[in-house]
Amino acid sequence: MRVGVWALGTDRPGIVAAITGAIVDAGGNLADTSMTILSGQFAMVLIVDDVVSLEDLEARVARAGAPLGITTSARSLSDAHGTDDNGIACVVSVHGADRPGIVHAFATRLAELNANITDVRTHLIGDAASPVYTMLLETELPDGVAISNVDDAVRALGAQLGVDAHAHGVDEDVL
Amino acid sequence: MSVQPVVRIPDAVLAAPCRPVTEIGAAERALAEHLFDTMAVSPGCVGLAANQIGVPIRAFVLDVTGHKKADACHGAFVLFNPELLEARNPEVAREGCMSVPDLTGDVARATELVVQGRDLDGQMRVITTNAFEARAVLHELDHLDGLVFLDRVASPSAVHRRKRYR
Repeated sequence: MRVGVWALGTDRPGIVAAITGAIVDAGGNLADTSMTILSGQFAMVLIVDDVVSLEDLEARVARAGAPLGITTSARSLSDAHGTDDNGIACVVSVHGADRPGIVHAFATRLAELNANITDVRTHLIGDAASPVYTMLLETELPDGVAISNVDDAVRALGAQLGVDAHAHGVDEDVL
Repeated sequence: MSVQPVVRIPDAVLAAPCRPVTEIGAAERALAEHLFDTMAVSPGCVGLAANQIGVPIRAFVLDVTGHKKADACHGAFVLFNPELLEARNPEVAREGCMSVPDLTGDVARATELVVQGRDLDGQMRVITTNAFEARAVLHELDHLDGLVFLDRVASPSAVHRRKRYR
């Protein structure tokens, strides 16, 4: 069985060791993970394969996380692969004075263009008096949508919201 | 044609330093031919190290002819026992590798360098290059030291799923 595990709590040493130890003890095998610190909170999302009992895994990660102040949850996942990750790579960068609704506005515009958001990183930088919001959205574009279309759309939206926004393609080279 | 299968991680031949050649004879010239032929049929590939076709000796081929990011270009060439003499002005760019399917990585590499090595006739050749050819040389030198680009990225966020690019 494939299971998704979520964990979140104040960052400190030993969180990854504890949670992954519980998964090993439950017989699970990590397939894909993302773990990072968000404003001092350590956030984990883990896709775990070969789980025999969801209840057993859920109990084990909860017991492992509790002494560290980590909240956990788990649920079974379907094997469906989701969207085809074969669109054209396009990165949207946004930065400007912080205000509510920036992510939602850009995500909505991108959805209207059928651009599939595959990764998002946001950071709040600068001082408290004038915080600056930065956002990088990695997207995949369907055939028929050009990077220049996305660039035009996000620049226009950025102008409405008072932030700078651009879209660009990404190069890679096989060496 | 003598196209060879390209070895992928986690094959051990990619993780260990390659040994120097002691002479450049028929076997070494055949190896160079295998590398050139394999590179030629691999879309977008501009360089190939010997251990990428499973041969753990210090040799690579390169050809950045016509690449949009190339400045200096020495055409198609092979170097045996290559040695980096100078490297400076690093820049970060995204690169992929035939031996690391599905992923690309943002790697800082020198944009100006001098490398020397033996050619097919055993003659010492000194190559001064820059830009994309320099990046390609450094990528292949890493292979000969048992490193892939994953060993060079600055952070986990510098590794990406490979996409289609336009």
